[in-house]
Amino acid sequence: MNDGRMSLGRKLLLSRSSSVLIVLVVLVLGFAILSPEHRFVDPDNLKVLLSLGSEFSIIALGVGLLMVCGEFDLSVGSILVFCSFVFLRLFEAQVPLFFVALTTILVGAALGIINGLITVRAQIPSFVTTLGTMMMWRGLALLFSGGEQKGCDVSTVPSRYFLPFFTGRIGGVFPAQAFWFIVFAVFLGILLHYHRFGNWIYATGDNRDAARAMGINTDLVKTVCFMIVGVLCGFVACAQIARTACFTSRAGEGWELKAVAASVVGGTSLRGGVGSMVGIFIGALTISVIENGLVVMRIPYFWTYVVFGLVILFSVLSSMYIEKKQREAHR
Amino acid sequence: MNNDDSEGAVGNPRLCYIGQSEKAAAYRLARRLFDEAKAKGIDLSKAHVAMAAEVPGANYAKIRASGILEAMKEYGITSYEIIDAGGLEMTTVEARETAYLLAHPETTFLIGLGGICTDRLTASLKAAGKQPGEIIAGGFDTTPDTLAGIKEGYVTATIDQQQYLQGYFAVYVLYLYNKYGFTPNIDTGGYLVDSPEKIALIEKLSPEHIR
Repeated sequence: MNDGRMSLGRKLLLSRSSSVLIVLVVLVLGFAILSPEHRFVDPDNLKVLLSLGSEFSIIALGVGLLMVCGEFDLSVGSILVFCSFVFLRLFEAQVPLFFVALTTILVGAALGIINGLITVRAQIPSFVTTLGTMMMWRGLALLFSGGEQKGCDVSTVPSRYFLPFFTGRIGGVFPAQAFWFIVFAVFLGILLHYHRFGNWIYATGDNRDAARAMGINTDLVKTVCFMIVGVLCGFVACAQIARTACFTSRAGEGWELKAVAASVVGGTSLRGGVGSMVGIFIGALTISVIENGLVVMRIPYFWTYVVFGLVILFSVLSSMYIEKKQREAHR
Repeated sequence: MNNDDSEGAVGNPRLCYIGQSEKAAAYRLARRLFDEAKAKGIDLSKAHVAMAAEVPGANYAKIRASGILEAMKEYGITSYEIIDAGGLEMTTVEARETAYLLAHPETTFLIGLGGICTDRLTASLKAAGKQPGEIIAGGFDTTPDTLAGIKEGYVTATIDQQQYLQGYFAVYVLYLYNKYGFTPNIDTGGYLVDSPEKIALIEKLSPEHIR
């Protein structure tokens, strides 16, 4: 059977994103039906899920993009906390809030570029590079802050737009964080799937040597992808500190592997060159839904890790199955 | 100093312990919260206590929980649960505490067993749509958000373990041990913070790293 003769339904079923979507739909329906008094779909719970879950999910989008490019970033949590510290220091120095946010995001971009340059210039696997910077940025944040938690209440500074921009409610209901999650997903989706740079990302992740032979500056592509991750970390640092009104040196701890998990669940290949923004978006959402849903279901939290593991394994196995079916369909 | 063996001197060949008696501090906190509920006319026999711990199996959490359980027995409270708040990452802790509150409307008391869990109490209660005092909350340590929560009425009380004294007495006792062989156990903690006056004192001395 060739691709042209496949039905639309079969094509959809054989796309990587569809298997992730099926997992998400099953989880959402399961939690909605089985949670006591259907509290999973309670508006208050959905608001919590969308606002708090989106902070992590925004970063996961960048990590997924980078994985399509064939690289990892284990330093996202540490970039986040370092950016938070920069935010705190500038805020304490009474710098105007939007300039604080802009500088924080630029610092995030710079840290991403450093990750990229070390990886491509020194030819070090990004797993090792970002393992090193993960420890370094977290360590520096601890060193400079003395490991202390410090108040950083931005609401004390008169600003009409700053808090609504990062943590407000659109129409009084929809969390701003979820809005930004969608905006970033759409932007990165267009970049990945409808822009020439997206083709370069796929080509670089799929076969770096072949991409180079085609004239693609793979070092630049990778560095830009690292920078995008850094920008997203800086943005989330602003949103998180605006919401919590404090700096803590533990911010973002453990998010690095969760972000990788979200990307894998979303159908992104660990070898690079394969993945979609829709899949990564759904994967990130799936991780947030599992975390929230199990608590709402009153299931002891230790089960979360078991469910994460099962969902990751199912996603990888279903992706392998889909790849096999796609190969057969193209014969 | 700071954290004793769960069995005290029996479980650890230490000279002495200088720090908070975790069980006594938790017991004191719990009694303060349960008294608050009694004053509000809440039927404690039907009350549910939720205890959020950053690391549920850790020594501090287990010992503090045991102090709360002891107070619960005295007040006739039987229903409780220890929540895994998912580590030290604040967004994760807040998300789990909020989800728990939404899933467990029977919750009467929400107690943070550690500083991060206590810090996130107010934000979690607000996110779950609770009014100040609707859930009786309290915990440990005096982070800025915890103190703000007490001022706003979302948090009833917190425990200040008075770390300054732990450092001060640790050096002082070593001096006395060297000179006279003294090895006293000193309980430095269990200071209940539950009023604007106590908060004012802490806020005044906190920048000097005394409170």
